[in-house]
Amino acid sequence: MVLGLTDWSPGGQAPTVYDMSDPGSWDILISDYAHPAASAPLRRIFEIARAHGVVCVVKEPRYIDADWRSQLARFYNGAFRRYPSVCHRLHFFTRSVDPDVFDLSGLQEAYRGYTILRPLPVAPVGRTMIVPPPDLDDAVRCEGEETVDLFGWAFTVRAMPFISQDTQLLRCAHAALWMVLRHGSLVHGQPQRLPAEIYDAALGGVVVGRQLPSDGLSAYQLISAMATLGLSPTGKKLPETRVEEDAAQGLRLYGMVCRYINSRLPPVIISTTHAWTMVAYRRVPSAGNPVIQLWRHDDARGPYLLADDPWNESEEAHRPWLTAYLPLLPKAYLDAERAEAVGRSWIDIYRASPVSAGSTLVEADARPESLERATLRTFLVESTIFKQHLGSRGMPDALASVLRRTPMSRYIWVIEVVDRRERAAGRADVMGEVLLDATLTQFEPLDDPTAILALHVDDFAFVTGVDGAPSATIPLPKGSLYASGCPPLT
Amino acid sequence: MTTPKEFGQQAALPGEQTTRSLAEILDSDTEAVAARLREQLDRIRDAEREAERATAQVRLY
Repeated sequence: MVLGLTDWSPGGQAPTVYDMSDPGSWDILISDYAHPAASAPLRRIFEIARAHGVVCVVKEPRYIDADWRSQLARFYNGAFRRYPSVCHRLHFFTRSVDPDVFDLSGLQEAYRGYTILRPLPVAPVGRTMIVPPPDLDDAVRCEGEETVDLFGWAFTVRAMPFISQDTQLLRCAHAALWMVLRHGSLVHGQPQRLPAEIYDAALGGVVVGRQLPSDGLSAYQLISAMATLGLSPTGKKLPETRVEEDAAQGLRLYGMVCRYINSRLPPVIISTTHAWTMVAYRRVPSAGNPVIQLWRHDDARGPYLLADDPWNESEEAHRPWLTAYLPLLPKAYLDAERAEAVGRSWIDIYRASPVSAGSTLVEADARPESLERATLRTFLVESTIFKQHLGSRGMPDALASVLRRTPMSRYIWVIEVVDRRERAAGRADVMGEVLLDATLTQFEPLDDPTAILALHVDDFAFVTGVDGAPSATIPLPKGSLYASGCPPLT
Repeated sequence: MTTPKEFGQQAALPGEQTTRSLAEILDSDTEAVAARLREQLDRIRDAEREAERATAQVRLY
């Protein structure tokens, strides 16, 4: 039986420490908060907690949650029925915690995150930061770090934020966008947006049906909200079949999702009835791709769920994968697909040049097995972060020192030339890279000498002079490979 | 009184300076590559237009 209004926050309620070593304890907690038909997200969160070996849950009984207060003020306070203004927050530990919660020092290593529970049995899961399940230890993930205060003790958690819709004010598209924006506030320094702001921002575009309580959003409302809230999204149609996927070249579904996860810009995917957020990929085979496996946050089903085959989804809500909305930052005029196309062109020009004779790229291209040849890895990164990591990547000193001193746009697109054979062996795999000014537009001519900031492959490196200054070539030793600068991989 | 030029010491310019463009240095035919790039950029633009058309009947719950 779910907790009622008077049970939710009785005066003076003390923190509660739950011993979760009995598997049945998790079901008892679920029954406190969720109606049986609405328990999927909470069940998934608890499933992840159990996979981490969580044996103890600490409840903050009177947690004031900005997201819930925002929902309350915008919608729930208008109802005849009363709703509590405070939430419960559950913290997950892999070691037992003393029930007096007096001394929580030394527990950081056992901390696995938290979930906030709203007083809404039809949609209890509020803001949640839970460490990705162990299955994703080797994944490329979108995630940010948050410091949490629990009774005066600070804990940190790294995760991709999750929230479920509440079915009335927030629907799936609002929730998917909330996740993107909350991640952006942790990772890119974007403002923290509350549910009411997201709801109001989504009233632009083409409104379909009632909006309060919400009967759902159009895709135009989603993209309008993204733009209003400080993103500069692009929407791209996804291949409808595997045959289309194979022929899509730079517009393959898997390639597109990976490029934006590499860039820490989680893509929002929509079907005709639902929206969800892609949060991670692993380099292992899946039903939809021979080498990549995708993972998503689905507000109605929970965080960190495998999306095994986009063209053979088991649930109607996920069919078909129609469009990807890619939450680009306003200072990235160029999107990932165009950036990769430009980078690929320059690599192809290098390939056809006498300069490339005997290079590691030419050697990799000549391998008989296609999965051992060179490929590209594309991502957006702050140029300051890119420069600060140069020293730890094993890049030749001569090149690193030039790149550090090269003026760059705030964000740059990096198109790395990757040796697949080295990547498969878990070794440093970058044999070269093209750096692009992210404020380049798609209309720049390819042969414009200012079109790229730098190109490097094997022993050849070229850095473009800025503002009419001379360019520079840097002679380098042959055969050096270095680690990726892609933030989720470093 | 010192002039600004005398006062500081400029770092040496790195690498070998050149006024030639990357395309000139690589000295390879860029036309075929440019044509492929244009084709790819067209496909990207088409995918964006398709996205607009495909999402007209969408209702996200």
